[in-house]
Amino acid sequence: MKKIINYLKSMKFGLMLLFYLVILSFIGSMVPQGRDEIFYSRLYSERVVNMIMLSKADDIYHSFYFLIGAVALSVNLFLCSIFRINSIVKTIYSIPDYKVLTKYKSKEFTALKDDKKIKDFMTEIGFKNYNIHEAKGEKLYYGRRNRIGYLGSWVIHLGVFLVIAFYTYGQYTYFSTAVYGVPASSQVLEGTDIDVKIHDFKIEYRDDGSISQYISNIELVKDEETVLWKDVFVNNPLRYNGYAFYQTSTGWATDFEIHKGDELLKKDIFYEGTAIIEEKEGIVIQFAKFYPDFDMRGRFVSLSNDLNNPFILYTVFYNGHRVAMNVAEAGESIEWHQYTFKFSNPQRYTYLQVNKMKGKVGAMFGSALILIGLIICFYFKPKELVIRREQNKLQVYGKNMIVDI
Amino acid sequence: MENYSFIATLILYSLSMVAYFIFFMYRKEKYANYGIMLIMAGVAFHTISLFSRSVQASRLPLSNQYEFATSFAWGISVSFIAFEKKYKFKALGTFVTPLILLVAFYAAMQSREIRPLMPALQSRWIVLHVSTAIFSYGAFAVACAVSFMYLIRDYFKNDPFIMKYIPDFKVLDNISYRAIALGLVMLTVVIVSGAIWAEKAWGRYWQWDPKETWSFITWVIYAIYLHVRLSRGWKNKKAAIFAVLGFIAILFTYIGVNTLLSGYHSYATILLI
Repeated sequence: MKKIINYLKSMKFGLMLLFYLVILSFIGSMVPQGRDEIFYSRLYSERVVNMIMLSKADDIYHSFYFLIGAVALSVNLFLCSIFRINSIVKTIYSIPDYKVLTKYKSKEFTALKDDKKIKDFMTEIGFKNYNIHEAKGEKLYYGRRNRIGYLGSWVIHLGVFLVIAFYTYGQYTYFSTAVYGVPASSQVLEGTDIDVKIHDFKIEYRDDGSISQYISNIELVKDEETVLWKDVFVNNPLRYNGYAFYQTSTGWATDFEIHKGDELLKKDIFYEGTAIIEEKEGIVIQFAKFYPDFDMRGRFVSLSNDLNNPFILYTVFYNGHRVAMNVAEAGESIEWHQYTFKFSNPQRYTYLQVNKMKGKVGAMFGSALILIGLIICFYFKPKELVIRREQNKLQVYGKNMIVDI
Repeated sequence: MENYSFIATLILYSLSMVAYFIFFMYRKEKYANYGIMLIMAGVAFHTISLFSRSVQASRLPLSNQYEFATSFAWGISVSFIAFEKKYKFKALGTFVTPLILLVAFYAAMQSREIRPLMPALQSRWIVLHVSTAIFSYGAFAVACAVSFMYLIRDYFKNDPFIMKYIPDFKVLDNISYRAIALGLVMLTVVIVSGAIWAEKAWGRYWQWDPKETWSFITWVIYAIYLHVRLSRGWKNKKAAIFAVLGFIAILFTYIGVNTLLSGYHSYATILLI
């Protein structure tokens, strides 16, 4: 058992795991992640696609073998941190072993004849608080500086452990959904009793036509009371009760209604790229594309993002067959057999990603520890000085002191 | 102003590299002195170029491929001058100037059009994230050059010129270690600030985007370097090879990922608003 624990906490095992995770990450960066099989079929040969799907390289960071690597590294770092702390504390407070230190030679050392001279010398080179130890005919004057430096690598390991642990926790408790809609619409946030009201959505343009910002004005309502109301824009999410609302996308939507003769079958908001299905009638209308400023010269392009000449590209399916496809002007009545439908009032809709990710504070704390640990490790080199007097013989030993002496 | 000073920078850096090469090939010390003078003049023009870009764009030049590459080349040049002044060994320029030119010419190949920032880049985190990346990569470039010198010195053990102008192994190893230590601290700041920024913009602080993944890979490579160096005594040739490999990974993280792989850092194609 001791052998197993020793191996699990060893640096060799830790380095092997790091190397293993680097190899998997390399593969993950080369193979596009989280796509459908058809996507890979377009890119690679059948053999490669099979390999990707079989090995789960399409979602490598959530694969069991990546998880095993991460968990094993966490165990390694945890055990390493637990077992090392005792020896580090001992090192910090013990008497330095002069036998493993560098021995210095200098004519000036012969001048250190008595305690006062030694005290002055120690003070002069920065060891104001030094200790004296006497045993078996030898007297040791020893001091340490930058003792915190001994903790550097330990703090880094602890930080990495916390980052991995909290990141994994965050991944496996991750909640993600979306709310979207045109201004003056509302939607219940999935799995909660929070109503999200979208009051306004605007896109700010610069003089050169480039987009400066996307801004959604939203209100959160709970038990018929407003709990938050603010503008959400990129880099400025709304946060409430662990949920964060991010401005992530936008598109076009229109009002839509479909009649069968004089009967109104459906009236709804229709979003670009979606379809409205009337199962009972066997009819499906697809809102394929929106052109805010349709080029009337017959090209299927929009001349600008402004609503100058709005057209909609639609497709009609009946009993599973495509029966019509055309462009129609916004507000125009389109007739197909006994059905009449109309797209009107085109406007932008906003799409907000809503995430709830736990463990962020822990991961952040771990990151801060890594940074602090690196600074301690590289810029607080522990310095040790031992002056050993044995009878009339005096020797000076040190660690990381070569510049000072 | 920006264009002229940038062209002057390229010319001066190129002449500096030539001077350093003459110094190394024909073993004439005065050319090394010309080399450092040319680099310093190049940095002066480079600074003017970056400054005028900042004034024209009304922001720091850190937002696209050209701006980052030219700032990165500036970062390597400044790091090089600092190390050259501190350690005073002339041969360093022979190995650093090709790296500076590589990055500077990569910048020259990119579009220099000033475009306003897309919404995702409008964050105060950009300054910390990108400026630390510049100095981190600059420090790793110096470590790579110094390690390369180590390998050259190791190969030409009995050459008196090499012995005179390339410092001994201990000094080279120590400089490489210090540069990597500085680079790793900076790289950690880059990753942490990027994670905070990603959380603010996209809701996830880490999503295995290729750039993030390669930052992780380079961080681990240098972490392994430091582990084996401090604990296993890899202070010599092996450490030097490791440092060169680490910088190849850095170059791939910067140039390879941007050109070959797509992700949230591919600002040439708008994936997110």
